Amino acid sequence: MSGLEQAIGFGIITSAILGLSALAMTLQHSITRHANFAHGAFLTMAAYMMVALQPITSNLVVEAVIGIAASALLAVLLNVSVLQPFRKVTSNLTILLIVTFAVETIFENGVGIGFGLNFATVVVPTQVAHHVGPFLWTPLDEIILAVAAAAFISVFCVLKYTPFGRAQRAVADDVTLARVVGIRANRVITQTWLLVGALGGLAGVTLAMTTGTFNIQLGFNYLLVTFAAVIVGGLGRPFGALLGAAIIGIVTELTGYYVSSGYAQVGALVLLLLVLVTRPQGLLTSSAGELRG
Amino acid sequence: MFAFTVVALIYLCFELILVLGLNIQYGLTGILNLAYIIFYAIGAYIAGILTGPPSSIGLTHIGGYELPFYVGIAGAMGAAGVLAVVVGAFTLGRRLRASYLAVGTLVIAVVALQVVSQDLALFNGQLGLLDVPQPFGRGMSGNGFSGLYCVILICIVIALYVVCERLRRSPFGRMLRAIRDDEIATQVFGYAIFRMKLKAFVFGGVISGLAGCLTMFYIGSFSPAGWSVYEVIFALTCIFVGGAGNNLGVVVGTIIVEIVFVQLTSLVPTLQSNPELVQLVRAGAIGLVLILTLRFRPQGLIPERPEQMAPDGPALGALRIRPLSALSRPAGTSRREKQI
Repeated sequence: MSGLEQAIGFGIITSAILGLSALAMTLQHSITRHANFAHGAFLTMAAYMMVALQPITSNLVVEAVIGIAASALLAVLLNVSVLQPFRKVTSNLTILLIVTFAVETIFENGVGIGFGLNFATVVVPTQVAHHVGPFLWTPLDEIILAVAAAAFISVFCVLKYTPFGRAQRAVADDVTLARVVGIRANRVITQTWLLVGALGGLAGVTLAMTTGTFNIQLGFNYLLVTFAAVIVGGLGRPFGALLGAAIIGIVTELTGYYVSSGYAQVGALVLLLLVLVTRPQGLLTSSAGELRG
Repeated sequence: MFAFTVVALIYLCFELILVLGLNIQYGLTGILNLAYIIFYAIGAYIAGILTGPPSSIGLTHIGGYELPFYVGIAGAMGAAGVLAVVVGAFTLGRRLRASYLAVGTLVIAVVALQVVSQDLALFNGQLGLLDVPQPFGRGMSGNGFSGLYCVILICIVIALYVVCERLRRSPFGRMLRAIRDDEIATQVFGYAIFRMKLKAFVFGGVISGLAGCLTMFYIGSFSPAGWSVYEVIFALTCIFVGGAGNNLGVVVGTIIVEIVFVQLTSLVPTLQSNPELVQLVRAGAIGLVLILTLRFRPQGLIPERPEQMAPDGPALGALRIRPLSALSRPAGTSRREKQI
């Protein structure tokens, strides 16, 4: 019984990290309208930035902040140097999908050239787990939960109450219409990509700290569960992304607990396939009209 | 040098078969199937368990019937076809748009890879199937067998090329291209889009299974390392470099990409300090070539000819008829005179 409670406890931490990644992907999808297979690169970038900074500083906060900044810059760079030029020459979404996949390939192998294929490590001070209610968490887990919650609340407040948030939602709704009413769409899109990269980077650093050791496939492996969370929740809905992340995070840990840890991801991905076939618009979205691309 | 060339040709043939199959799915029909490589894998595994030895110490798998090789080929293609029907029915139906189809097939590929690598009882997990015997010519020398196998493969590639080309020019092939260019318009004309797409999907899957089976017979072993999702990116690069939808183009593209990125880079000496460097640079370079091709020459080296140019296409047929009918028109009734 305590094993099950522990699994749910881990599931909550997994959900928090996954929620950050899923929120980033939902925001990105709201402006690009196509899946971004290079999403994992944001996580890998932040995680490996931490690895690269290990010899220089042992301050995890500094490493994490620089990692997040690097990831945010990468996201803007991806948009400016690859996606925008392609948008000008093609409107074929399949081509754009393949392009993002190619970007992921280049990035992953580039990191491999720099860091090698062996497992890299982010050194985290030894954590002592203790009981919080029924769950067994370490102080690091609690910090991650708090940071993720703070990130969610601030992103929702920014989207709902600030001028940028209003402009962002307008652009996500209809770029042309947004331009007509005088919104500087390009600036909003760049800022959204910054936010996407920063959230993805935050997911990457928290993931790197909880797993400790990882290889260049870190981001790509996480890409699929992020897709699962975003699609299960309903694409284009920030709240849906969080709901999806909660479901997928818990399902992942429960599959790991009941079946075998090697199949943890498989459970989440099978759930994704079921949702794709039976309810492709996601659990939260009621109308199929939202389905584009 | 001769042996090197023969082996290079054999691997080129495997890739050619694989790419011709993918061209039916992506090039003709426009289905981006990131799970394409699992049909290759099932072809190889089924051929292995039908013709290979039963389980022994360190080698656990289902089957192991030691049947003749032609049963292996039939079983491999059949299994790939059945899997293609299932995957296709799962992903092509409903409203699975571009993003959803790509995500769905990618997820299927990754789930299949994870399950097969971890389930030791199915296909021996991460180590994969081993010791599958040569399909024929047991007494031949290694070089002799490679030479014979190479000749057979070249014949298969030529036959497959002819089949694919006929398929492309057939009414069915035209329909597939119509679906690719405008699915909704084709649907408006009352065609059963889903069944057409499923047929193309299965056709490509069976060819992929054939490639897997032939690979298995030549190498004698097959493991999850041989079918990662990046193989699909490699095949897509071959298709785009040559010219998507055009069989001649994809053959040329495959030859170029295979020679430059696989054969020539295999000659680069391996660095002692970083043994994976060549492999990583190659994989990254393939992604770069893919992006640059799509950006600056999306139609490929040999673009697909527009329908009017096809000698047996309906549009040119119409063009040919028009002058004839003009000739047969009674004098003095040409359009020009009518206007006056």
